[in-house]
Amino acid sequence: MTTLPFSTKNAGYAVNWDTVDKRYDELHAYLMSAPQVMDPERLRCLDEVYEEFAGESTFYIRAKLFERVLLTKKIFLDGNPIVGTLTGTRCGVYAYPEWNVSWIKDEMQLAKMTSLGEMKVPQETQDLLEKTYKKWKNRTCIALNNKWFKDKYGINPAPYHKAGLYYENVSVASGSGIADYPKVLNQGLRAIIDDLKQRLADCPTLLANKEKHDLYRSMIVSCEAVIAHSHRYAELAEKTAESEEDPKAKAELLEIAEICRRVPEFPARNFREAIQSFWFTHLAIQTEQMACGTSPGRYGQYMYPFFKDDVDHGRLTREQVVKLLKFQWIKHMELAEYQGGSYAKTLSGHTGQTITIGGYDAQGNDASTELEELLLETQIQVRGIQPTLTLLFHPKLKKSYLNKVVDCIRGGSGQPQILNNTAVIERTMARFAQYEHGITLEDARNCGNFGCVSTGVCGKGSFILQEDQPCLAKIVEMVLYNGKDPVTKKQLGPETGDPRTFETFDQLYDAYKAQLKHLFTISRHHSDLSQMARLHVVPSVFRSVMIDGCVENGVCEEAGGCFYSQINPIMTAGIDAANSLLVMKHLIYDEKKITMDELITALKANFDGYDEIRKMCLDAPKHGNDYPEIESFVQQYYRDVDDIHNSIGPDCLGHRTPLDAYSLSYHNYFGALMGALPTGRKAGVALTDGSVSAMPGSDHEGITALIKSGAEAIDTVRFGANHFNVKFLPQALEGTKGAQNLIALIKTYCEYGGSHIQFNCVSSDTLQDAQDHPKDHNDLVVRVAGFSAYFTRLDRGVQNEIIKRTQYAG
Amino acid sequence: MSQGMVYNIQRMSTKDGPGIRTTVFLKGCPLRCPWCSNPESQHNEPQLLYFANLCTGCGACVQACPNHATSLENGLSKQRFELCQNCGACAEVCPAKAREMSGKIMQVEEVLKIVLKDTLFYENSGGGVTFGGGEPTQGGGNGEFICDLVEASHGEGLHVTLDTCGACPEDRFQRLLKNVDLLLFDCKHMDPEAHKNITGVDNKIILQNMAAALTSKAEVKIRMPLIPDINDSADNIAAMATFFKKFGKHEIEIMPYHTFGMKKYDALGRPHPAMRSYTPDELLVVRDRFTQHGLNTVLA
Repeated sequence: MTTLPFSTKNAGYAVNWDTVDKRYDELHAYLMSAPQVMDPERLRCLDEVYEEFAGESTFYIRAKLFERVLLTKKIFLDGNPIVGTLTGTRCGVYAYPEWNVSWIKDEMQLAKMTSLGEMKVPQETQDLLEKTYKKWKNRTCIALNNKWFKDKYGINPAPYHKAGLYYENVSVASGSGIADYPKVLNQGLRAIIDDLKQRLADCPTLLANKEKHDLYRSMIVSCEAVIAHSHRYAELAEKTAESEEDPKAKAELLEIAEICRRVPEFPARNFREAIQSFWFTHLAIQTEQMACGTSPGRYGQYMYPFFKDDVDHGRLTREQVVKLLKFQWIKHMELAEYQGGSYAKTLSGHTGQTITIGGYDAQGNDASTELEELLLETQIQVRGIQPTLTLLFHPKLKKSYLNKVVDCIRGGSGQPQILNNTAVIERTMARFAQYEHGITLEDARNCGNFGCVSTGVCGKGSFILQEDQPCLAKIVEMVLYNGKDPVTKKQLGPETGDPRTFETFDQLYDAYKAQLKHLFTISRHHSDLSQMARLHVVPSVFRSVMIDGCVENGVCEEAGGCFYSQINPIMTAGIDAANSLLVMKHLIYDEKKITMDELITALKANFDGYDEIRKMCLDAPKHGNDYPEIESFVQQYYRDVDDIHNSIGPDCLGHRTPLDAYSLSYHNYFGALMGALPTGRKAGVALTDGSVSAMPGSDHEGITALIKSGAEAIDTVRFGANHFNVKFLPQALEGTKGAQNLIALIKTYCEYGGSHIQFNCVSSDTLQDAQDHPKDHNDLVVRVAGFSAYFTRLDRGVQNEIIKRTQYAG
Repeated sequence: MSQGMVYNIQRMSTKDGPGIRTTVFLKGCPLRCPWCSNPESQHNEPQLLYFANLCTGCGACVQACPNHATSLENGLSKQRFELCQNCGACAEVCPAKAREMSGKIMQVEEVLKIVLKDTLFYENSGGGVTFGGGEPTQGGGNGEFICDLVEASHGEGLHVTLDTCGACPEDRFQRLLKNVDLLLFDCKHMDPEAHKNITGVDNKIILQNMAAALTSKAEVKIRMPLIPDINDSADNIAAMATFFKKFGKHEIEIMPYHTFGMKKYDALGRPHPAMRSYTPDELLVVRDRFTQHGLNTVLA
């Protein structure tokens, strides 16, 4: 990194440290208790700008909308030394109706949930929403996606979504991975604008360059808007300072004004400016499209030089850095979203603002920093839900650093989640090797966590191009009902035959593959048109500035402009499908304990009156127990899913697309739409989380067996992701020994080829629930004292003791 | 190779020696300590455990039982243990997992196959295999079973821990010592008479084996189940100090009595032991007795 033009001032900052703890507590308490409100501002801007600029290019209209929001929204200071909020209301939420408006019509009277609880919709917002609905109902991304599908293929695709075969990806706004934040920190937006102006001037006026002209014009508007937005805060801080009588508070306000005049327009000169510059940039990206999966990337690494210089020069202590980071954490948590009830179900309000820590630098050395240890410390203190931390685990990480990681994990928040650095680098190289320009080793090493568990290249990659998210378990139903969906009563799949007539398991498996191929074909056709609809309706302008390649190529992110564009086909419930197939193989074909007819009858009845069959289904061997023949089937199943997906042909960028096998909360959403399964799961119950986790209650062989099974289930280099949640009792991780054992588990998981793993320390709430509803927690194992026990089989007094102990264990 | 009675194989065991371990629990024990927290481990034969709180009252067990040992009362299954032949038919059909059988015959190869599954976890954590019980040196069948298990594990390069009370024929114990890396050795009482009164067995051979262990190449950790008014007297602690200091041992892992195993007594249809737990203050006083005699205590 080049030498930074650091501030020469050696005194500390004017932050009023006397009051920061109190202010943090107030902000945190407000966040936890205040109602979320859907703010009307953005809807108003949307209405005005689309009318005012009708006829202009979409890029330009989008940039003007972005500008209008940033320049007209109400701004306020709330005691946080880092300034800038999404909406004009504290903890406010904006509507993003350009993707989808059906929820406005269908759900206005229903309760609306975000990650922070229930959201209120004031009358003004309701009126605007109704107006917006009328204007947008035929123009949204999903409306056009479905219309274009019908125009091309002659079929109405809506029932596929309704039946729960897939989730329409473009029905919601989405984040796109990791922007090039260091670009703004180190160059400033003014330099970026100068570059854009030069490119616009230099662009030959060929007809083929029309889109480029529109994009560059719009990009300049968007960058200027972000600068003007920061200046608004400078003015507000100055004005507030005028009437502030406390000299310390006044000094802090004046310093905030000075910082907001400086960044993000110009390079940050110290940590205090850098943290504000980062926040304005992140907030701007989120304002353009507030959605899940806009991740800060390697924050602890690109912020490190600023941190180091400030600490070395005595401008900040480490404790003060943590205090500032806690305020930043509040900022991340204040960003909430709402895009309709099904979105709330599929994502649980998750915003995917993931910070990647650890990993390698470009030369293959340990990239972890001391600042990252402070990020972990911040997470321990805040125990927040955002940002989330992800560790790129590798053998060169220092022991002291790993101890801090373990401290954070057992703090009870389950963070950081772990990604296997080797698998991610190999995957990144394999993915982009097939691209025209390939990938450099340095870029592959600069990988990071996009959103939940996906991965890509920091600052240069985007996964905005999604595919519809299929439910692999639903295919089991399609097989059992010969292609006719039991929910919509429509023939949505091919007729693969009455399963009662199948004489061998191979026939059943072939039917599954045929149904899956049909779904993948429909889904790909629908998804390819969804990419066009997204590009047509909501191309991102500022975010395109922020992801490298779009400016250089003069192509926006949604058109594949960045250097490492990737498609993100999330797929869910593979384990439910594989387990269902295994159960049928075991009970019907191998052991001949029941007939297919008996099974289907029991499933149709949701096992009511068929307890014995259900017990057989539940007892049949399943994934997660390190039984070689079971696990090799699961591995073969996932290979087949991947092969079938590839057999449809190249994706909309012309490449083989690795499947992203993870669940978000889709397992919950799809589960609610599905009938009973051969696994013994009843109708409506959530499917299995993750993509290699065990079905709840079906792993009996302990955590090492589970970890090995999970690591090997999916080829994590070939796939875009795997997803593995492991529950742990905090006291199992106590002490130095607990830390060593946890690291050993992670190391072994990676050596077996696993990619993602997250340890959920079981909370005392869960234990309490287990005590109240023992039958729902039959398999919860606790280490008591000298022996392990099923929690539900312990005496109530002992249970109480353990519940109490767990609360202390954190 | 030989076979024996195993009642549990616990992978990811972390309290029975260093690192991540697999603990193999052998069934059967010559001692009858009244505080035993694993009462199902005492007899060297399969036994039914019935957890009444998980019963859903479906009645499947009533149909299945050939000995009329189960019946439905007030919508819940009731077990008459005196009629039960431990055949396991009810556990086979119980959909709520309220009934389970403890103990099954396994071959050495079968056990080893499971133990070796986690080799990479042992290597990465400095762990290995632990044999416990019951009393592993006696339980599980004849003595060949444990000797073969220990030898085969050692042959695979695993770190081997033996969790024992020491009640084992001397020659067998000598054989075991050759292949054991760590002993978790129970010390229940120093006085032969008291030991016999409490556990039903004299401690002569136990102390001989203890001496052999302490002079062997294996690492030894002394563990003491600490029971109020049974083995916490100043005299007993003084005798322990005299004995262990001869071998340069100054640290005792204590396991104060707890009532966590009570549910298992219910599940076996047995009355609870008539013991009480320490109050925190009492425990401080008792630990102080050890300190006065130059023994450090750590909580196991």
